[in-house]
Amino acid sequence: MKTFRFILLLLVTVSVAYFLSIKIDPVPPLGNFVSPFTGFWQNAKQAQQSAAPELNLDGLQDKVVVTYDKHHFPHIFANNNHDLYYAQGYITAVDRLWQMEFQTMAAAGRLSEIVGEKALDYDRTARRKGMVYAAENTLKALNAQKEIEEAVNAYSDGINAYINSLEPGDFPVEYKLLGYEPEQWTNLKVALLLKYMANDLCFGERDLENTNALKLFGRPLFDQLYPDIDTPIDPIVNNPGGWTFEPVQKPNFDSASVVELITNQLVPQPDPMNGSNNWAVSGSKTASGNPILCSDPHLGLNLPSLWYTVQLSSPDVNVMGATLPGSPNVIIGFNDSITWGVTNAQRDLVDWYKITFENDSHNAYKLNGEWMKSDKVIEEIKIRGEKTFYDTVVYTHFGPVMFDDSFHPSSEKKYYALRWIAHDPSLEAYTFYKLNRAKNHKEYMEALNYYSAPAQNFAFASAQGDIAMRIQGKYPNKSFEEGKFLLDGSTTEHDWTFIPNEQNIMYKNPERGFISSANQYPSDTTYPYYITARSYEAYRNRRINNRLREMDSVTVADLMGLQNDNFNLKAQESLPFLVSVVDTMKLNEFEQIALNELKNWDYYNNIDSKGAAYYEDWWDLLYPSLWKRIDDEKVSLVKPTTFNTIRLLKEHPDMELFDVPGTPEKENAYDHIVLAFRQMSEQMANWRASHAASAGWAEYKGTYVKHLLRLEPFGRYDIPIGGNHNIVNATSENHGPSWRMVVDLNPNGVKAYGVYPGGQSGNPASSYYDDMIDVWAAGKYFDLSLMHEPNENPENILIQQTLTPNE
Amino acid sequence: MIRFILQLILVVILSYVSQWIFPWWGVMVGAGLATILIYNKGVSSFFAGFLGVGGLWFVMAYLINSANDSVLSTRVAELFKLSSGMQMVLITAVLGAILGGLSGLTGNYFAEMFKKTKKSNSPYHS
Repeated sequence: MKTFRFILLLLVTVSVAYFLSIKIDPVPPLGNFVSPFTGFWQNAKQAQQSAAPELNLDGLQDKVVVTYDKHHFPHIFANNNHDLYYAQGYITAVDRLWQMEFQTMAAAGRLSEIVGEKALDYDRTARRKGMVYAAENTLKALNAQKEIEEAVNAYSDGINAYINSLEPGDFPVEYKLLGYEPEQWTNLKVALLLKYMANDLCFGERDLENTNALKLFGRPLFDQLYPDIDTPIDPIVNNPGGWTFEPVQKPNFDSASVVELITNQLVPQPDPMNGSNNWAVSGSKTASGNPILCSDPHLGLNLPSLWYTVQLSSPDVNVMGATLPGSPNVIIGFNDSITWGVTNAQRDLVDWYKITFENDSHNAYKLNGEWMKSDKVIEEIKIRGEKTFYDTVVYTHFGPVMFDDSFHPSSEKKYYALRWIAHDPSLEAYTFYKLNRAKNHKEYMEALNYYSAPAQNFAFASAQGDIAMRIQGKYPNKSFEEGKFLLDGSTTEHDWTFIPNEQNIMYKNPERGFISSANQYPSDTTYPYYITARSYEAYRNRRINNRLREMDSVTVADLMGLQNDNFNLKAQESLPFLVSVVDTMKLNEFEQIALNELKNWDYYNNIDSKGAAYYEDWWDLLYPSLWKRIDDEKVSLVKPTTFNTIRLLKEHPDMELFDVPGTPEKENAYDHIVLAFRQMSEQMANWRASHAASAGWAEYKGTYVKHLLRLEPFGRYDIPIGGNHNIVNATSENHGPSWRMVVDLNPNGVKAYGVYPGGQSGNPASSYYDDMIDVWAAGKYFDLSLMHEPNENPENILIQQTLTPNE
Repeated sequence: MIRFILQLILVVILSYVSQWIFPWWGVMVGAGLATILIYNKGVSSFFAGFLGVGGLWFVMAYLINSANDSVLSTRVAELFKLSSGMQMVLITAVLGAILGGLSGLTGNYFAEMFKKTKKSNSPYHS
């Protein structure tokens, strides 16, 4: 009896423990999670502990001193490069381990392992895009360059030294919430992180949407909706007649070769708002006579932040700036001699090829009149709590076949292979390794020669007084419209060949005294190669250039002001026209209020601006209303750009596409403008009624920085900041300047300032988790002090940590 | 009463020490072991575990939480659709108490199997 009673109770007790050990979505494994010994309380405890003054680490060669300044920026001082990158890996992992691993898991299509079946489509897309294939190719390239191979090895060893030192209670809180553990870091993960960035930056294209549009609309309408250059030309490099090299010729291309409807559900594109600003002003235009460079990459706003500020110092290098957790080196930064910043180069670096398989086995496909054997890769996708999913991906001469009968199939059994620049071996990590050490324009150029993808506009300035811009990447050499549409995959005629590096768009010390880029069309139209892209910026670039042209005796404060500039050029160019359409109408009370707010607005999207809220709401209603027929098509299409839409509104208000089907009247652009105005007036009246009288644009916009897992309490909401997309301060709802940097290249000691919407610590318990958000929103900056020895500026030092090799 | 207090103290000590070896459920091993080593009535054993582990978890969570100004516990509370970090301290304490109580009683039932019947004149039977 007693035995039975014991066994029964033991079963109950063990069952309770068991149920508290497993994750029952969305509840974490509760026993571990709340245990003060192992659970989230330990993360709260960590946040209050400062770094140990002394640490012994296996694998270090010599002593390393890490000085944390008062903003918790680590300044790493090592006696050799091995220890420098080892310490960078270690120190970054201390603050950001979960994020580093999570982002590389996402890149590798392994999220189902962590979150279960809901991530399966995401994972299959990543695998079918060839993300792992791309990372493996890049790792091979990195391993062939000794210096960067050693740096990557040391960086990975440093991360593993941290991982191996952890008890389960020390794991970042996200592991405990999701109920999994960190695995060993590998060099492949460094390559995966680089491809994660490439995916965000150079997967943007619209070849299949273009093909659909050409088929549906015909050539004249297609050209009207989607011209190659639809923006006013204020390019990055304006050098008409200056392209003196002999371009590599290509045969003409017949764009009509494969025009068909692609009915597959296409894979997601990176956020079209991904973009950036950078510029450098020559000493001839600055008050101090020193060149000043500014850089602010616009990306999704997440916590933990994409960026992590570090100084790296060894006898060979002394550099500071923004790093990407998961990759060694500084990505955007400065040293005593030079500074550089990047923005995304808008270019079509993806092509799709129509594949004809011999039969349903997909073992062979037609190429140059013969049946070529295809390669099949079986992707093993582990799914938490379920059976492993095996996905067979067919690789062709061009690349992987994205869609097939098991993945986003089309009813007509059509197959398209993907060619993507990110598939090629790439040495971006080596470029940054060399840029970190560059001392002048020549060394910047040498570093960039290794850079292939994701294509970027590299702004540069040196203490010697040079400024330069180079639009660097490995660009396929295309005939007119080649690769703008689906390509014929039964021939190798459209295989990629590349524009020689030295014929890329670049210039140095232009007469106007500044260089700048903001994702606009890259060059004047005399550049001898064909260029196409998903879209180009039409407003930020012109505002920046207008301001830089008219500014003189420029100071650091002026340029900080420009980075935070809220002027809405798009509104200045479109609102008077929109207002003229509704001005003479009979208006109700709310409509009259709306009209008055708009007429009294100064075109600045400032925090307290009311007119901005009315304008943006009006536009957000008008744009989809105008292009509803495009959205309603059964196949994937893209809508014309904002700039082209405004042009079409003014110049072609009676376009057939503006007519709403099923109504007896024939609608034109004015009808949409009026309808959107009426809806906006009502929406805004409701919004005003439910908000304080002082509430303006920032409150209406509600900018937020979300946690990578979208856990609301781990994010920051309703951040008071102005701006919007197409504005220099490109802060929209959840997107914007993810890092802002201003560098004054004073030859007597560089002065640099930086901030990002996050914090150095990835621990949501830490006061450094989100401490920079308010500073960022206020348009302020922290000092980025490039130190020359670990004990410089004692008043600036928070703590110092010495890492010593284990005997 | 003294036996109960001894049991309680041993629960706290063994629960704490077990965490050096075991995962989060180490406290259950500690509480169970304690009520095996110091025999007492079922009800007492249950409460020794309940108060021992519950109290240990409460004090630890409370101290950590105060040092952290409730920063993380408030965020976690909101994840659980609660409002204050102190609620997380209490949930922690209650969960610890239930686990401790169950383990304490299980330990007691285990010990009971090796006891003679009630009529035995064991000096340890109180």
